[in-house]
Amino acid sequence: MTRLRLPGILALLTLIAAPALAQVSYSRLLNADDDPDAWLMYSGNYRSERFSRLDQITPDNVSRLRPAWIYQTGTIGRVEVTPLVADGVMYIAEPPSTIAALDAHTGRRLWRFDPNIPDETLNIGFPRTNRGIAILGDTVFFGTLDAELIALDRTQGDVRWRTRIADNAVGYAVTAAPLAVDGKVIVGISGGEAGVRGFLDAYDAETGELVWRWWSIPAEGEPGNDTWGGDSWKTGGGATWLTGSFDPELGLLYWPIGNPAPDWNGDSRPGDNLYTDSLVALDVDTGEMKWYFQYTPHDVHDWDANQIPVLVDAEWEGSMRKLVIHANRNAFYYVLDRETGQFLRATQYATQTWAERIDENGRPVRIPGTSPSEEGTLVWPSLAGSTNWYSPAYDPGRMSLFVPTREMSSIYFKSEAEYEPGTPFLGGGERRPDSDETYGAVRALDALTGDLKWEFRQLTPAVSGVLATAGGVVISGTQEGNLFALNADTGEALWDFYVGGGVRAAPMSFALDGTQYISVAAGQSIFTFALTPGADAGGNDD
Amino acid sequence: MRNKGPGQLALLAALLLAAPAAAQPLADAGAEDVAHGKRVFDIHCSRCHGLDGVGGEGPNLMRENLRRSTEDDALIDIVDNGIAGTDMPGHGSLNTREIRNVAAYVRSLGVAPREDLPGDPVAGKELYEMTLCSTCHIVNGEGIAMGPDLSDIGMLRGSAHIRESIQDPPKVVNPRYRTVLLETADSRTVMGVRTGEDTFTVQLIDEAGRHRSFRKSDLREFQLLPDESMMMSYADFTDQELDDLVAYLATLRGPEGGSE
Repeated sequence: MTRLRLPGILALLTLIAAPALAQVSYSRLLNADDDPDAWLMYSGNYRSERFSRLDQITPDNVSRLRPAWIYQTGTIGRVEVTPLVADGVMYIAEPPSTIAALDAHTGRRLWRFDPNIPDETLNIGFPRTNRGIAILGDTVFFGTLDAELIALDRTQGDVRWRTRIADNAVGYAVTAAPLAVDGKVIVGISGGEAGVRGFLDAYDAETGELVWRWWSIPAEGEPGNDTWGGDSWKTGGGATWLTGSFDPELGLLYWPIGNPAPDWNGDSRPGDNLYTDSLVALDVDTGEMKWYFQYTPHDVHDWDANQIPVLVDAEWEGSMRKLVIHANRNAFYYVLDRETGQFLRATQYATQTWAERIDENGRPVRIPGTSPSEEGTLVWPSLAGSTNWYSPAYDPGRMSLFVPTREMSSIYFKSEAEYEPGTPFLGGGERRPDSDETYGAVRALDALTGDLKWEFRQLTPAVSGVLATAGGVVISGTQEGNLFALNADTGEALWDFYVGGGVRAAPMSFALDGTQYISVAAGQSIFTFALTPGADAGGNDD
Repeated sequence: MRNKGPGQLALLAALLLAAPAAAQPLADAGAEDVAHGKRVFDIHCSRCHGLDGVGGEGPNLMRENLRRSTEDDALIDIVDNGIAGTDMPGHGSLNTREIRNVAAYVRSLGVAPREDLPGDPVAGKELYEMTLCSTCHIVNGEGIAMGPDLSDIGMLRGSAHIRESIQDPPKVVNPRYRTVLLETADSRTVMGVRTGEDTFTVQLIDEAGRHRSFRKSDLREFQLLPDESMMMSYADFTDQELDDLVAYLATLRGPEGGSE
């Protein structure tokens, strides 16, 4: 045992007394690209690229990637969080609604906060899990399964404030990561399968007071309410259960909106059912809607739009445009102008049998006879869609969007739908056909055309998000428990590791003391990888 | 219990009084409820349990006593939440009325008369042994586990499904039991039944009954054979033989000899 000399002890005391963590200011969030050692928000930056600017891990050395530490949550639910890292501390969510802070060097737990949600908390249409956290100043923010928004001091895990968002007894819940912007926390809700009426909220980050609420379904007298029949708008779904993106220059949030309810029986809701299955642009200060674009009008397959919208600035037909790109659950890839919502292009990126084409206004031309029926209707893609909430990754240098893709069909059934508060409101179901032809892939799409650059095929339909990195390596996983690295240029598999539990979350990357790490939730644990010391980069690894 | 104190008697009385209300929540389900339950069952349950509940990948439900749900509440709970540790999922999408009516429909299946099978189970057992079924199947611990364990097949599957499995295996076989043919880097050929697979590896039981795992990128060749390749078809049985074999298999109701 070494004895600490007095000066050593004094130095230690100074360390303890000093403010442990820097502030994660709004300007730090705005400039997240310049701070690649940290991972400060759900999708990495406000454009939702999920692209790490770290380049230590490359196609030449990725085969030396090994676990640095593993953190076991000790819970039984699915861990689906994207960890955040700031100043050497990792913040994760454990199912159902517990937040923990870990030493990012070692995976040792620093603190943990359990809001003790009641056992009878409803989760209708989604697992009892939490997918992420937001950070601003010295506070972390997260939503709970029973629909509270909670702010914690990020050094201690103490509660700053708790705000009830909505009533879980009718199906409202929070699983998505909030998005922190200047002084506000934006949070969406789940519950479309229970027939809630969706909304997006902004709360004051200091006080927890509601700043604005935007309803995803217009009330009587508001434009768009006539796209619903009778009172169907009151139970019409339109959940906001995945984190959106933000353009600080335009002051606009881009939020994807969920499916209409009941999912598979549209009889009670004749019309387009605005703003379900849409992307909406909302003024960040007021919540006022600037524009919307609906991908799937009058959806009867549960093809919600809750996939990550990625903001891209690029030349389009000769001039620089602010674009938003979106690989949708309905099998089409879309490019829109994000200032106006103007439809620019749609390209099919996965097998589908429901639309002849997308017309010049972006509206699908449906193939007759593809709606759910009592006897069952076979349609591609399946209920879970051609992709889902699993994050894509965008490599701005290559202008490639890496999309976790599902090749699968469903037999869709329609049945009566009866609204009963706090129970599933679906009007049918799906059944997997008796064939074994399903598979998954990571598909690299050209961001401007949606054309396929390459695909890496997986045994089963994708359930994992994707991370891209400046080192030219793309990371994703499988439900069987594989984590793998691909060459961003070719899709070639360069490395894989068996984590032994389904990878149902998206990886992220951070750095400490000059070492790049990759972290991902899988099974009930958080896995963190780094390169093992070995041959020089580019040498003969392994 | 040797001594019934007053407290225990009171408890017993309370239980007896409470019993009629608590006992059978499905007892008052009417024909309309059962018909509605059938429609929901056909959508959500029939893929595994078969139309009319005759069984398929999932157990036959046309039997009087369901092992895990002799009480209605237990049956409702299984429809609602599934059975942990098995392939039986919670529905994830039914409302209270649908759950109850599916349970009522499943209960109604148990009232259907037990099948009267034409074959002779004794002759069927001899045939089972003669045809070397046990080189791929286990019954009560005897045999090799390349294919499914048949020890309680008579309880889990209806006779029509058993008959079809023998006559036309590819049509009904669980995709879990796919035949794998591979060639290793050192040119050895291995054939077996797949027990696991992911994007990068495959696991199998080889012809000697050994469990093995391979990395796909280490193999010269890896293929899943068409279903009919390894699972022999027994289409050349006479009708009588087939009846006998089905009758024998239908008697296999678990190691304890049929407690459901």
